[in-house]
Amino acid sequence: MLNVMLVVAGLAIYILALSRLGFSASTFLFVAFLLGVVEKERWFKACFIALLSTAGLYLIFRILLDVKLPKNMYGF
Amino acid sequence: MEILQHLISGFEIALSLKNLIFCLMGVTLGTLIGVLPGIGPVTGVAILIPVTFGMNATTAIITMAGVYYGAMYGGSTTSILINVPGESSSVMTTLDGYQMALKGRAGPALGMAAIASFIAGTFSILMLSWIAPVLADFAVAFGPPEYFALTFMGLTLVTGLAGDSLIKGLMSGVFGLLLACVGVDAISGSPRFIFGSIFLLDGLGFIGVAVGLFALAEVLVNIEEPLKQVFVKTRLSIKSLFPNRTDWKNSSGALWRGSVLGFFVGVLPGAGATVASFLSYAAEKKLSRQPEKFGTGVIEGVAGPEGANNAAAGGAMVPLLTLGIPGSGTTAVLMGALLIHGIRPGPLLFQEHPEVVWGLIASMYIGNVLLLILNLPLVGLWVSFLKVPYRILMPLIVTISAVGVFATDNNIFDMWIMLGAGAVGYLMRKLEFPAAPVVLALVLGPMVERSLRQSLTLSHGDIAIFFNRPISAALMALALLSLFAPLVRKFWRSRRRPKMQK
Repeated sequence: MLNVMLVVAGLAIYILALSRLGFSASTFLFVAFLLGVVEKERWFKACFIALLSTAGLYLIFRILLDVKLPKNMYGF
Repeated sequence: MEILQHLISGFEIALSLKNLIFCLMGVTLGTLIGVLPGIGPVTGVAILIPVTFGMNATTAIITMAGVYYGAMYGGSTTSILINVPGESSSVMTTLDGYQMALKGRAGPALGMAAIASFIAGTFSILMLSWIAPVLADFAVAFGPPEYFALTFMGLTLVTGLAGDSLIKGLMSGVFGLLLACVGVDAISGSPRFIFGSIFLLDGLGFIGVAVGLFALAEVLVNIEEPLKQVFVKTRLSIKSLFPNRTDWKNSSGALWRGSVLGFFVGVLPGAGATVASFLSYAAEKKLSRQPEKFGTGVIEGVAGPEGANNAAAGGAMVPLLTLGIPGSGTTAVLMGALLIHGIRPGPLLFQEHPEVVWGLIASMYIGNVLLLILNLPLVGLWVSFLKVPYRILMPLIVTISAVGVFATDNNIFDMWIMLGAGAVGYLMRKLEFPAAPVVLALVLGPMVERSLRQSLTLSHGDIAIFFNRPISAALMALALLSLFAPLVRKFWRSRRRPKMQK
């Protein structure tokens, strides 16, 4: 039950963060949160997978599918 | 002969390099989704809608249908090797498939599952290409009353058959109809249930609801009850995958019975691949000379259900394409996807967009060949995917779903809809409400409403219009029968019981 609430709350914060922190930063933090906090993976591994998945999603959606992903004030 | 011509032009479309590549991509993803427990075909198709958004309609539907029937192939691998069904339609395969693996016969079990899937899949596409145009021709003359009766019957059949409880199915269906009311009224133009939000004027985003209700809800249920996986150690060489002569002799009957049964069960709205595989297993057990051997690793217990679930996937395309009524959650999502591409499934589809229909049908022949290749020699590859733990996959599914929902419209509001639908979907699963009727009603809702109101305008408000015309009367009778059959049965049982006590 705790995990379910963590995922729902995390997703809500992710949606809120997208328009402020931009796609890359929020997605990295969100995946790292899901792995590190919800699944209790080691932080190094969590951050590594988060980095890979953010890059992968960026490749699929931004480059292959040409979607305008939200950016932060620094432009990423 | 006309069908043959259409089919040839369909192959011209399906064999273009682009469509071939996306067909391959679809069936590969489908196999992967089938192999991985915790992601079913509905989730796979729902997540793919945003990805296929930029493609033309034909390529998009070829890709998504590939995921649907591809998942039917992949599901057996997991069932046989780790005794966990990759998706619900391969539950029956665990019974004898896993036992065969324990006895060191995982190879023939996997091989037979792939071959049965191929034979039954191809059989059902043959039937589809033959029956679908005939049915579409018949349905072309339908007016609003027939359409209302038809969509109404689709809704009642699915809500009646979707879960164990008729009441819960009905509540899900009506909830979906309520969601379908959100947005601008198509006839009077006045906004309904939008609570002052401009985002709701176009209605609740279908993708957000579907992805939330299936993909996100599935993840939420899975992180609560982690899957246990125990591998059966096997060495799989290509040679070991081929069933021997006795295997063939034992399975041939199960194979063709599963194919025929699966196709017709698939055509019925409400009963899909899962029901087909259950029925096939039950039939084989009943017909067998040694029914006691079922469950100990007999190959016909793999061949029958695996054939049946693939044939059902082809059968399910019949009502979807010809009548525009999807019979299950997955086909409802497929239909939603077609609607997003501006294509309305139904009898006119065959005249208005023959390239979509025949391109899709031809691609299914090709897809089945591709799947046979993917699943026989490459089975070892899929097995290695099984070793990716769910806790690594979970974050990926959540983020792909979320970003995908955003990507369709570049709209953050759709993500909130997804989150809400995910939470609702999670609660529905916990309380054992079926989710398929919600999506079905959301897709069919606007059609049900429009045809109802058009019919009543024609008849000046007289409801008898649905019962005066023969086709609509027959469909209405079927709909009412499917709704009241469980009640009547209960009523008889409760009347009989007191008598027996006397």
